Amino acid sequence: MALDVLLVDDSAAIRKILQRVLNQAEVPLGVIYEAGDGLEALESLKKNSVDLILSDINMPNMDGIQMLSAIKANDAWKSIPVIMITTEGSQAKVMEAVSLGAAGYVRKPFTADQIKEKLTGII
Amino acid sequence: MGQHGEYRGLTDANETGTNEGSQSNGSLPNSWMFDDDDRPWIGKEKVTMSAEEMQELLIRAVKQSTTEVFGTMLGIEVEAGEVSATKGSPAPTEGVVSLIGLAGPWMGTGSLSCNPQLACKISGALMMSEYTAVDEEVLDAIAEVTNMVIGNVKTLIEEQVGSMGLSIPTVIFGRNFSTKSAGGSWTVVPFKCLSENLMVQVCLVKSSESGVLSRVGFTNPQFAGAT
Repeated sequence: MALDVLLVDDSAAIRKILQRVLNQAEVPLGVIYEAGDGLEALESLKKNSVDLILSDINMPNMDGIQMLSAIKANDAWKSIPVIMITTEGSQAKVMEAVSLGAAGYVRKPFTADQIKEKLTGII
Repeated sequence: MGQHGEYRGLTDANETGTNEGSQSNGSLPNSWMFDDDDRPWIGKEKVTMSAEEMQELLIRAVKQSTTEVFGTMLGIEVEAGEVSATKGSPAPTEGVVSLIGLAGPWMGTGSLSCNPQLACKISGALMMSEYTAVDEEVLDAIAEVTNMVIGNVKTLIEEQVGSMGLSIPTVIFGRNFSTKSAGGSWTVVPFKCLSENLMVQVCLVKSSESGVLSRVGFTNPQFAGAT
């Protein structure tokens, strides 16, 4: 089954890299949606149905933690697995993401194998 | 080695942390956690650091983070050169300079700089594309590399000094410009990267003991003259 994925990062470079890494990880991809921050991501979810979200934490307007909280509070979206991908490595942030229901956490820098490993068992 | 390929051990094996059990927080999956062996400062909490101790920590963190980011994300090997400390404006006067702010118990700025040719090569390696001139994509890529390098430096040092915040990076490209940091000493770590010079530097000063976060080099009149 091809996965429709939402990539959320304020860096267009990272969104492009994530797309490439997903291809390298041999993830069956459907439509790739992109958002530059949490607010854009929520707007995208209103219009599009996705199977997986990969999101940065530190972003302008609405950060990844706030976005995750909004997604998990929405009955229509709360079952979508959200993997946080960020340089934010503090344990407090990891704990916060876990408590809010993140499905995984990967720190930058990352490799295709690390992304693939995280996705195994989630998709 | 950590599941996410985080930090490899430092050269001084004696400094390896041994706080087994520090991750026994119940709800957090082990696979999300960092290996203690990879984070030698864990378990050696040391909230109060001198400027010299911070500089030593910064040097190791910058070397480790830069090597890790360039190796993992870019497939580029970098070689650290002789570290120096300088006050004032150590950044180059032309090329690409990326700046990112740090705030918390210590505050200041991290910077990555290089010439336009190297900026294009780094961006090409990151984006798997080819760039012949500095454009929006190159600036975006350099900003992201800076974010990763300084972000990982932050993660390493906050084990010692407590939680810190990171700003969004700002990238400058041009000629005949100068940068100036008001106060503090820059720890400058040069790297050889694809036969070009790459410079990663960090300037951190201890935040006011009063708890007021003041800008580096800026004296809050309220506290001027206070001892």
